[in-house]
Amino acid sequence: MRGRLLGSLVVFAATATATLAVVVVARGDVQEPFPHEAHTGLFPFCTGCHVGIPEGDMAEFYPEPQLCARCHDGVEMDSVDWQPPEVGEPSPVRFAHPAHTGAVDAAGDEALECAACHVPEGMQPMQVSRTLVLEQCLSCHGHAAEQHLVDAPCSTCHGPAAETPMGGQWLARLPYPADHATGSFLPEDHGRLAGANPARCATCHTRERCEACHVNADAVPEIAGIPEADPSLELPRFAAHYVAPPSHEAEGFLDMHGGAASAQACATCHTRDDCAACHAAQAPTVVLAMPRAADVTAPGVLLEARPPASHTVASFLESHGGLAAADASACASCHTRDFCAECHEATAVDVALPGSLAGPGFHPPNFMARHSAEAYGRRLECASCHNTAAFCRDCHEQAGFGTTGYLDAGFHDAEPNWLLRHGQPARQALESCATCHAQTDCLQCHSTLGSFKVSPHGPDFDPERAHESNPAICLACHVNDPIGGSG
Amino acid sequence: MSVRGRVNPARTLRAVALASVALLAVAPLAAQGIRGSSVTTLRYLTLRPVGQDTVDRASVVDEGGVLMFDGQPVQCVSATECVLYRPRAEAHAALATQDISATAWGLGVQGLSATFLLRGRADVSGDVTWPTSDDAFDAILAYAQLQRSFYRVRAGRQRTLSGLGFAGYDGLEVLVEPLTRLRLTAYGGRSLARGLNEPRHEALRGIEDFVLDQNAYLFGGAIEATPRTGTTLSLRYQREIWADRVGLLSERASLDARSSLPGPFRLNGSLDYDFAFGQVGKAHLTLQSRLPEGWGWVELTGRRYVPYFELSTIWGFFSPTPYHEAELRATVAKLQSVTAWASAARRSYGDPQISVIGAPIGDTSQRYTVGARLIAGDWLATGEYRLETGFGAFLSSGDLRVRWTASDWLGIRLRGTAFQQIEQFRVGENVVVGGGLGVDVSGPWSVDLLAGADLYTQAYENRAGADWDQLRAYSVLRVPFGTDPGMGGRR
Repeated sequence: MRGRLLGSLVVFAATATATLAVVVVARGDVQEPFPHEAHTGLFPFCTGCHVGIPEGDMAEFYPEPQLCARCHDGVEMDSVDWQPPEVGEPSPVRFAHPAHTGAVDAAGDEALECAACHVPEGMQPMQVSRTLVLEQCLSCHGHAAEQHLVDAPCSTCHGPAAETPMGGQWLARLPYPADHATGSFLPEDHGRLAGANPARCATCHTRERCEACHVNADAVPEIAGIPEADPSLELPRFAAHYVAPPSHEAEGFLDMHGGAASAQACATCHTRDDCAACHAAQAPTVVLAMPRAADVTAPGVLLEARPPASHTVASFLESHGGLAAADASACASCHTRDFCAECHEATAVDVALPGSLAGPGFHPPNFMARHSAEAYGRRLECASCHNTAAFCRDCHEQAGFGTTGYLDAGFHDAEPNWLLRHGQPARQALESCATCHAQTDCLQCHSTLGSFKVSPHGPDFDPERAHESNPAICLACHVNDPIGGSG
Repeated sequence: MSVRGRVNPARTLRAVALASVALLAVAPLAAQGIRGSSVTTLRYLTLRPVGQDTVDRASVVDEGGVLMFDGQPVQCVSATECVLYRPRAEAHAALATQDISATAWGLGVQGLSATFLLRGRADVSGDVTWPTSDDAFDAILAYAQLQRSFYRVRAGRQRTLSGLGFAGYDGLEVLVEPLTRLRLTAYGGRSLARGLNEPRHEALRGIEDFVLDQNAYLFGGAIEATPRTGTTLSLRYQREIWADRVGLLSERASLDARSSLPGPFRLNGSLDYDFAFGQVGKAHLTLQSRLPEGWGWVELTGRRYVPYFELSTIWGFFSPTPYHEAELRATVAKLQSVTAWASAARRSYGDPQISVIGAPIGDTSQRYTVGARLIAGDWLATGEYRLETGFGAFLSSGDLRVRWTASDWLGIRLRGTAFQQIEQFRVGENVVVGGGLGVDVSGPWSVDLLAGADLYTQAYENRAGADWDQLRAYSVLRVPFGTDPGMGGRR
């Protein structure tokens, strides 16, 4: 039993020793603080040892070890191995003794005034406490802020983040002020707050943080007032984060945004490349004034093209031609001629016009060279826009294809006995007939006055309905009214 | 030879006077802004017309059932006479058009603007007349518009383009949006001949055989609704009637719809109905599906087509029959720099319900398309091949187009083509080969110039002396003027 207890004590002692050794090694030159109290009466003035403090001369903040040796010479008194502490350790707090020397001088008693901050109340001047300093700062510089990170005047105690000796990682770990967490902070508030108190922003942020999102950072005075970080600060990479402002949520905003657009307002979040997602061709002046993505740090919102509300009506495909004809520049704001060419030049030889050349013409130059193939395809009906007699037959006659009233001239020579066989293809491709033939060509046979009086009406033809719609045209073929008379 | 009563000095003078008065009336209003453009277009063409000729029946030989003369098929119209088409001398034509279009706003009343598009034409020279070139002046658009938050009124010369086609008129259009998702439109006025921008009895006098010498009027209305996001419906009715109400020129309605469906699907369709003949006209239904991971999309379309003719012609009374078609199309656009597409369709023409002497003529056709577009730096290349077999003719066609953006102000275009010339139900084993060069230049003040020329050459294998050789050249100069209103205002 005793042996076991002894063993336990040995293990405990060894563990404790090892732990202490690790702590000592980790702390390096561990040194007892200077025993100010033990030297009471020897040093009447603080500045006798701390010579450089009133002037801010760091080299003279602490005395040299040789000063100790004047007494601790190893003969009269034991020698000591005291070394002055490191001066200028990184701190986020901006403090300078010289700025406070005015107050010291005004007090007239240096020891007392140094003790005002460095000695607890009621203690002797050499009873220095190292835990007292921050409290004593606040005893004079205390503020009425409810939230230190929100309402306090930061620059009183803190310098700009760009100048902090704490490093980029320390900056990244700073606590998040409560007012930054509101939904309106990014889209609305932060700009106003920055304008009112840019120094507050600069306490925790460098200009790089603003430039991560603000496309036009160079043109914003509030941002220009925030110092840039030194490259050695090694800031983390900031990701751009954009929140749409309330104005963008309004109905019809996309259609109406041009009226309120300005380079100053839009370039906060948008580059010219954003605008070019839609304004592909005829860019408005305001777009041309926007910064290019390649010239700025921020990426911009990276917009994709979205159609305006007018494009979402059911008949837009059918009606867009009229809209385009009425205001081609509106189309050209977003579309190049290539876009139109996807449909309208399906078989055209010519390469699409550039958008800036989008004129009132529907067909591209040289469309005529290939128009027969387009017409043959019968997907778009030429007669939707053209009077076939004026546009088609007029030209076909000049080219020698249009008829002059003399039938059986052998144009359709791929089909023998064409006249006898033409009925089927005529009904199946009647618009082709109308591009070369006059109506009277057909009436030579298909009329009550014609040679053969061949009825052109199909079995499903409703004569009464057709007659009701336009009785006048019935008389083109019938001598008398075919419904009311003996035609 | 082509001008059949179209030149009408009185009408031209009247139009010029009308436009002048309109401009003089607008000028004192001192619009706050005006934006427009001048587009000057020159076109030149050479071609070789054909003409009928007769040959002695005795000189015609029968080659396997086809009567031939001098290497060409002929048709004999009597015991002694046969007819054929012979090439004539090369002819050329040149046309100049000048468009002036502008919209002025800020006329002292909120939302008030004026828009016009005027076109002048001149047949510069030539042996043949360019279509409509004898019409020296057109006021294509000339209307005033009042745009407010929930309504829009247009008065003057305007046009509407819908599932019922193109319609121009001198009159009034009122558009109201009583609800955010509902739009009502009503319009009407004096009807204009399609594409000719003039009252039809004036524009078509001497061109169409049965046009009455009086005005016609156009009336229409549309309801467009968005019952839910992604779904829109449009219903339109339109009627044209002669001024003395002796008859209609047309009475039709159309329905258009599109909707997003669950998943990657979208559906859109259209249909029009002709009250005059009591039949459905054109219709289509397309189901589109996006492919996963941005690969592109596929579309399946069913289509019905029947040509539409106004009631002022006899064509519609000839009972045209429709075709029905199914088409599958796929587009791959996974990479930004490459887009490729392919489609296949089968078409079947309806039963014409007519007795055919001899073997029936084939009434089905197939269409295939494959193409790609490649973007590499300053180069854009597009190529497409189309094949269509079946009804009436054979089409095999390929195009290659390359555009090089040489600088901010200069683009150079090269194009090449080869295609089967379409001459329906006509003998022809002929391929047209062509190519051309074009440039587009962007000058200062947004002035743009586009110019180019294309040469096509063809040799008929069985039509001696005939060709389809053509030289086509063009230039387009666009000069914008006025201030830029941005994108303000709904369009």
